[in-house]
Amino acid sequence: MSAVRGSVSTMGQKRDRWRSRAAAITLLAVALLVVAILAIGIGPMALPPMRVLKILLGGPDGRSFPIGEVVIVWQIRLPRVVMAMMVGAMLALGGAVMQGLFRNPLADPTILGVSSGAALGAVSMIVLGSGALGPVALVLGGYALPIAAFAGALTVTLVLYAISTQAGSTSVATMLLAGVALAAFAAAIMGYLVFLSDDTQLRDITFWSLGGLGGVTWDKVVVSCPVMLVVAASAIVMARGLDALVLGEAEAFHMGLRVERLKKQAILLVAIATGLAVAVAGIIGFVGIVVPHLLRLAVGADHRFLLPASCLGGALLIVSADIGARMLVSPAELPIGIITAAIGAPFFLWLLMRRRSFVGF
Amino acid sequence: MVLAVEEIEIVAAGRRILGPVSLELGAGSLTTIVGPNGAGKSTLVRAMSGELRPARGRVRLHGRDIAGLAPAQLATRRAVLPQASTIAFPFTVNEVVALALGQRFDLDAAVRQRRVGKALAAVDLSGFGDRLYQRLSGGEQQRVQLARVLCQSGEPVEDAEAKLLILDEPTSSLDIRHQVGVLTIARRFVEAGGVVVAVLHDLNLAAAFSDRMIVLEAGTIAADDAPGPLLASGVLSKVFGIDMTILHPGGWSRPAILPDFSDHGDTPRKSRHLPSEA
Repeated sequence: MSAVRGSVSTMGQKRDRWRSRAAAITLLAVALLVVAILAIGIGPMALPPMRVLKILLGGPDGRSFPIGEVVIVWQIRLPRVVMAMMVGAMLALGGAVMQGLFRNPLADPTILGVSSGAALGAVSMIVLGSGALGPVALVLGGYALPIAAFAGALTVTLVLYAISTQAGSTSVATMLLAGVALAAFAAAIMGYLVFLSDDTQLRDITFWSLGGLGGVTWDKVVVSCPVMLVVAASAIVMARGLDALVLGEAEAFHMGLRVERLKKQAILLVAIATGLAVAVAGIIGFVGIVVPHLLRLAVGADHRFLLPASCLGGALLIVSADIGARMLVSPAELPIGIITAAIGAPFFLWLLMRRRSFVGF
Repeated sequence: MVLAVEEIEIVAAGRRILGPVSLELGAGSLTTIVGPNGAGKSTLVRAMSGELRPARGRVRLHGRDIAGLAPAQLATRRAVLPQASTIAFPFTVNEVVALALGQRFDLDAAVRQRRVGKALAAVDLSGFGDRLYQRLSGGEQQRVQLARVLCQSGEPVEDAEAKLLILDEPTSSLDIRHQVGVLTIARRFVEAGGVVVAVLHDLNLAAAFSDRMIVLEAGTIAADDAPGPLLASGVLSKVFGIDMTILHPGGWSRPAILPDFSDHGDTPRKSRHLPSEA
């Protein structure tokens, strides 16, 4: 009798849970849309949201508004906002997948040096592209930078995984300390490259180490966005596998998962997502840890929900942070990484203090 | 035979840690594996589950070498309860149990939900579906894990094939009532035609609930028999290095084991050593 009653109430609550998840996704999507329109309106030439909306609906060749406004909306601010969304989605997704892979909510591409690896790859290409890496740069052309960033991110992720995970179990302390060491190592090499670089390269490197979305054009969006969309879609395919992995590698295998294959896919995905984001916008920290964590608190840890919601949440955070970056010291622009770190670092500390009680470190 | 272990040897870091071991498990039987720490109990069940590949020999499930079965094929025929599971993310009890069917793309949502509810009812946690796993006590978490394993297994016999449950120290964090509860569930599974093999530390529980006990010592089988004759043989005293008295309380269908705690090792006993912790 009690069993019957139990299962009925379970079903009702389960439906509630799905409804609240659908509500959360809708809310995030609507918020993202609103903030994106605000972001397009903000700048030296301010445009009210309704006007932005009408210009957008009028198309890139719309004639009902001054050509200057149409150009600003369509050619300058829209590509930047689109790119901000994609970068934010990649950063948060990279974080969520990495946390699933390491089975730990403290895993984050920036904190563990994956972003540093990507930045090192990018910087190497900037500084050495005309020298030692010249042939590579020549063959890969416009893709040389993102591919170098991906290679750097992949190397760090692989090393990190090999060091901190043994016989299927991850040591949190080892993971965090190895991440610190890898980030420091990447910083050392980057310091050396700074030493070698000329003035223009130096400015590029500064940009890469603090992050920013200035100078985004449609060309850049067209090159990177299709890949990012593929990454987001393939992450969602991995959701059930990442769920199974939550119990442990052996347990996931017992439940029928091809664990090795999933791990490889996850490592690759973290590296591509982080590499792409860094190649486009430099190192933007803490998005990968803040967004998935808040979403888990709000509506649960099921990856089928968490991964798409993280994409939306990361996009929302970066578009908002970019508004801050453009407004706080206008007409100059603050590196966006400063804003996310100012929010994210205290959040990370809070997370550490809160978790110490029941994770046991 | 549901499961046949044929002359397996497990090698780790160049050292043989188990074997050669052979045994067979038939439908409708509950077998417990006992032995000192480091004797290879967990290694043996990990080899049975397909998690560890033997360096020599093979493990067959329903006649098929498990090394040749895909994880998903294995998962529909055998389920494994691990020693302890911590989860770092806020999953609910329902979600944890439903993980068991996460790779079963053939089942629809209604079937999944029914199986989850049934499994939770079996471990006496019907109202717990929406609680967070992390907030439960250790004993409740262990029962949720058992529910997950039952949920994965489904019926003890399907398509005339008996299912295998592997339980690695299923009672370690449970109070005595729930220890009995878990083994009663295992018994029920066996009586419905399934197969259970469990690693247990509590010799009395093992003797009371199993059809057959296997004693492991230093990676090989020291004894393999029904509880009655096995206890009478004195092999447990020898393997654990502790004197044990076998009691036959009136009205009990099974013998009980009383270890001799009276000398704490300060009086030298005839050629008997306490096994060192591995």
